[in-house]
Amino acid sequence: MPLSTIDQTGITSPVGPLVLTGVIDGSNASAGTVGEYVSSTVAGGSAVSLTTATIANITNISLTAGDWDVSGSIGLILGSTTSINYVAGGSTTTSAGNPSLGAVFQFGYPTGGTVIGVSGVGPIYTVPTARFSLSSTTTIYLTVQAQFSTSTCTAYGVIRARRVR
Amino acid sequence: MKYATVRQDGVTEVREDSHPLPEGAFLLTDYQYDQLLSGQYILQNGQIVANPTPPKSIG
Repeated sequence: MPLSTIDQTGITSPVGPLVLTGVIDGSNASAGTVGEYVSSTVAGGSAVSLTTATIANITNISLTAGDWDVSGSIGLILGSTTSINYVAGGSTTTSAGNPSLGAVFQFGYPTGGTVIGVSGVGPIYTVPTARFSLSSTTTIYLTVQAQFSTSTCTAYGVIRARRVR
Repeated sequence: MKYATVRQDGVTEVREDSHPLPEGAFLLTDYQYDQLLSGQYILQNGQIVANPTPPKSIG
C-alpha cells in the first residue's frame, strides 16, 4: 500500500493515518527528544524528617526546556502514636513551595488528629500529573507539608517527568 | 541510566535520566535500582546493604 500519493502539480498527500511505532527493546529516549524520561526517588529507607506544618522538599528533578508532564507519589512513615491533622504535597518550581492547583493533593483529618500510624504503616498519596511548559532548564521540586503531633513523621516519594514535546 | 546519589543531608536519591552520570554518583543495575526503591535496602559507604529499619508495608 502506498504511504503517499503525488498529484499532477507535484503536491504530496498522505494516504491513511501516520503510525508512530514504539520501542520494544527497553531502551530510553535520548535527552531532548519526545519521550525523554527523568525521575528521582527518595525511598522509604532514606525518608526525609518533617517538622510539623512546615513545607519540606523531598527531592527534585532538573528539566531542560520543553513541554513536560510531571507526576509522582509521596508516602509517610509515622510513629505508632503520631496523629495527623492534614497532609498536602505536590510538584512545584519553588523550593519548599506550595504546588498550584492541579499539581497538588491535600487531605484533612478530623479535628484533633487521627492516629493513622498503626504498626508503622503510613499512607501513600498520588501527586497528580501536571504540565510544566519550560523555556529554560528548571528544577521541579517534590514538596510535602503535614501537621502532626505526639510522635515522628518522615516522608519519601518519587517525582517523574515525561517530555511530551 | 539509573544511579544513586547521596545528598549533603545524607538522604539517598535514586535517579533515572538520559544525562551524563554526575560526579560521585553510583551507577545502578536494574536489580540494584529495584532494591533501593523497595526501601528494604539502603546505600551505605558505596555498598547496597539491608535496611536495618525498613519501612513497614501492608503490600
